[in-house]
Amino acid sequence: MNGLLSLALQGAGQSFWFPEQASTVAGRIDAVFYFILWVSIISFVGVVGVTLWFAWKYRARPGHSAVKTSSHDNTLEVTWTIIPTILVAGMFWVGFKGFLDLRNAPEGSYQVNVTAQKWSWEFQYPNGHLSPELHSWVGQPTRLLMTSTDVLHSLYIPSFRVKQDVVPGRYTSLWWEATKPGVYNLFCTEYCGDQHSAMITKCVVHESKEAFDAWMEKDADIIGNSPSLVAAGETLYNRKGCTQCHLTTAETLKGPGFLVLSKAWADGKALPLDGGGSVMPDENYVRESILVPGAKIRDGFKGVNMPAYQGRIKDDELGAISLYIQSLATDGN
Amino acid sequence: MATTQTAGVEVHRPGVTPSKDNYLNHSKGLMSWLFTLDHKRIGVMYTIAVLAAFTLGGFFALAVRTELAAPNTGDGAWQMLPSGAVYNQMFSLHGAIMVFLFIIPSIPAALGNFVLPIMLGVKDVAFPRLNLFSFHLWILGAAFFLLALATGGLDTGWTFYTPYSLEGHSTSAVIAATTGAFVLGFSSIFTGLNFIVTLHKMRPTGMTWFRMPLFLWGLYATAVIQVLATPVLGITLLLLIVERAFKIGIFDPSLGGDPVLFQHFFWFYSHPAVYIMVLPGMAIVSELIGTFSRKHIFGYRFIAMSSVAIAIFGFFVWGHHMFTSGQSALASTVFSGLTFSVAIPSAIKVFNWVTTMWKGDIHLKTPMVYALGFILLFMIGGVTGLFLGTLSTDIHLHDTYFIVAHFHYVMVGGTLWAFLGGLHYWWPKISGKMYSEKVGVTASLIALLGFNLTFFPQFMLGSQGMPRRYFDYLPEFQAYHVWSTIGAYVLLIGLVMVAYNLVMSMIKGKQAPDNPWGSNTLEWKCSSPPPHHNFEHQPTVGDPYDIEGYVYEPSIDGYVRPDEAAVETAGRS
Repeated sequence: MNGLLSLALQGAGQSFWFPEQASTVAGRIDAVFYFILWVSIISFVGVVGVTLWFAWKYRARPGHSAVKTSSHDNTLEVTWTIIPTILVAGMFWVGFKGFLDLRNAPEGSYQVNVTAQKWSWEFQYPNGHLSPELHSWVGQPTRLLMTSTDVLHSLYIPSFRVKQDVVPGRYTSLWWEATKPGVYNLFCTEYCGDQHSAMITKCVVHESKEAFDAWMEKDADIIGNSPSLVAAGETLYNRKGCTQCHLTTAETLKGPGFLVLSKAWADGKALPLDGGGSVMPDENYVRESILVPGAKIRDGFKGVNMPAYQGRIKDDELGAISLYIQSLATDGN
Repeated sequence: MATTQTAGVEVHRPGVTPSKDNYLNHSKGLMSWLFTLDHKRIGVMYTIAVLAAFTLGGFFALAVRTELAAPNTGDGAWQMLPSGAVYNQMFSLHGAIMVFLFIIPSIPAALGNFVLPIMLGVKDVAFPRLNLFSFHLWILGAAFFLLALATGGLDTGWTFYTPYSLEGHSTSAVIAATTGAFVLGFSSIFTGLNFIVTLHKMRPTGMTWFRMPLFLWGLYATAVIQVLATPVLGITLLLLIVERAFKIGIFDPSLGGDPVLFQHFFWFYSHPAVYIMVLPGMAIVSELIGTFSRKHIFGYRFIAMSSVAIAIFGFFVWGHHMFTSGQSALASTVFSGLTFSVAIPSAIKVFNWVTTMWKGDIHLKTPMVYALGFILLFMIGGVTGLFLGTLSTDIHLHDTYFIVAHFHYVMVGGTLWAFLGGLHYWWPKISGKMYSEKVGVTASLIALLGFNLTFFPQFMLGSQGMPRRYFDYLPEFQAYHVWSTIGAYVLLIGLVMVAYNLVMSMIKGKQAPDNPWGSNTLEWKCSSPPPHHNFEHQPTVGDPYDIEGYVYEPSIDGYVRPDEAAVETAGRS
């Protein structure tokens, strides 16, 4: 309840109407807002002020009566048609110019691909690295190429004054150039169901390209950042796209559930393969299935065509994933 | 014609017609109401029905506002509803019920039905049976909404955006609600059709188009939108049902459809529908301002033509709901430009209303307090629309609480205020009873305070970046939410007082005179309440705003016209 009376403004640079301006377009958009605001305030005070003044001055009271006046006046009508027309034409024009700035990303923008799904964001950088938070750096125009795997979402960063719906089945994009380092809220603003209000993440703006690269190097080192190899395996499972087709239960999504493999491994049982034969689950089978998925296809999964990870994953990462899958059967599942 | 018994002697009291036989007691029994062809009874039933819907929708609004009093986690956390899923159903039902069951039918179907034929000086609308059928369709549509409520799971918002509405949790609730909206659409189309034909074919001798009261101009423009736009909603909802039931790809990208296409279809109806909501409201205000200022309305033709202009322009602006949707930049630019065209006729109306008050004799009776409240709220709703029609600022404000505040100022501040103003204005005619002015004015002012307290903070909430339709929020937004929730309860107090005042008037209100406000439109020339056939004899048609001849008569607390009374008395003897 703090700040109830003071309407306390939190965060540096925040004003009565806006969060801080952290992009190159923010200042220009706010200027348009304040232009319309002042036109609005003057119109409102004028119209409502005159209305209340009339209601008082000409209030019904003993000895007072209405004075017959003309009931039409074309000069007045034309005047109060033309003045608002000029004002709104001006608003249209400045809004249009600002919109062009928002729509046209400059040449050489740094592109991040965005996948929205219920109820999380996934950001993929040019080197293939995935992160649940969006990172960029000051002074670098950054363009997002976005799509959704399920329903409509919308990516909104108030401090940058940018917003764009994310539509399944097509790409949409937006861009900005950050002007100051910081951590900014990133919201989903298109209603998407139960956890819509939890589909919030951060946009981290680093102060330089070097700082961004340093973050990237550290963040990409998943094993170094994890408390154990099993935990690293779980993070890799979540970040490398495995979740799209594999559950950690025995249920089949597109590919087989990992628990089936894990249990067979623990019990020392072979798994049947497509076209006859079987395979004994172990580290080598897991490694091969990730690097060259077509080598041994489990019975019933022919034609699924999992993408090969050869060259896209490191040796120690393969080991961590293998350990994680092995741990599923013993983790009380 | 007016007589009362005093000590066995018939005394003529001009201005009061205590008719023994009126539309309320003309026939008895529930069936005589449910299957009546009398436009007045149908209007009364619509009034009761839409107010019941308003109460239900209001209940959901309070649930939403109460939930949002504090974030769900952190210091002073507060969570009333069990989950986000329940919250989503609350705001979906609030929006759907308020839009489809209350706002759209409120003025045209409820007040319009009662007033339109009497204002024309005729017995009924052109097609009384179709009129009754419209009401029965409303009931059927409402039943589908109750079904959606009972089956649970309507969590799509009132907009039913695809593909969410195609894959949500409850097929039965989505289909029930869209079927309900589809049926209500037909109710709306039939009412509009009825009004158009009535106004074209049944205007009495002497009532040319430009001698028609402005309320009728507003209803006419509204009816045109209802007839032309509503079928598109019907088609859209039907396609949605077909896609959901039979998996035919229209809007669903996984079946090869286009989700943005749904938005085009939906707003092609739902933007003009905003003018179905607000044009009749403006039309009521046009009646109230002149009457209570004791002045002829200023700029009659401009007000009338601006209604038509708004109705036409309203068809070409739907894309302004979609600046961030992924539609092309060119389309957004064109829609932004067209959107501003609607601002002009709206501004013209406001300027004419204010000028009407100049040098008047302004009576701050309850309906006038609502009319002035309307101007205040509509000004805020109107100017905040400028921020949203402007492309670059809309990108920031779209789908935030700024939008929520804006459309509540237009739809509630506009429609509800005009509806309540009209209800209080025609209440003496509808019920035959006068209500307490003191309670009426106080209730209106409390509601005005509550409304502004609820919705003004939401502008800042939105421009600061709080998205709409959020079950939970970041702690920095809480201060505004607290004000908003307090305001909602103040508004509730005001509205309960309104209901109390009107109910009490029926129990112990004074007999209403024929013409309590001194208006010259024809509905004030019959008794209060009107007889079954509205008029004992055809009233004479003149300038509807020629009100200077009326004189206040304290003994009846109403207005009489000495010149007319003299003519009548002469005719009688």
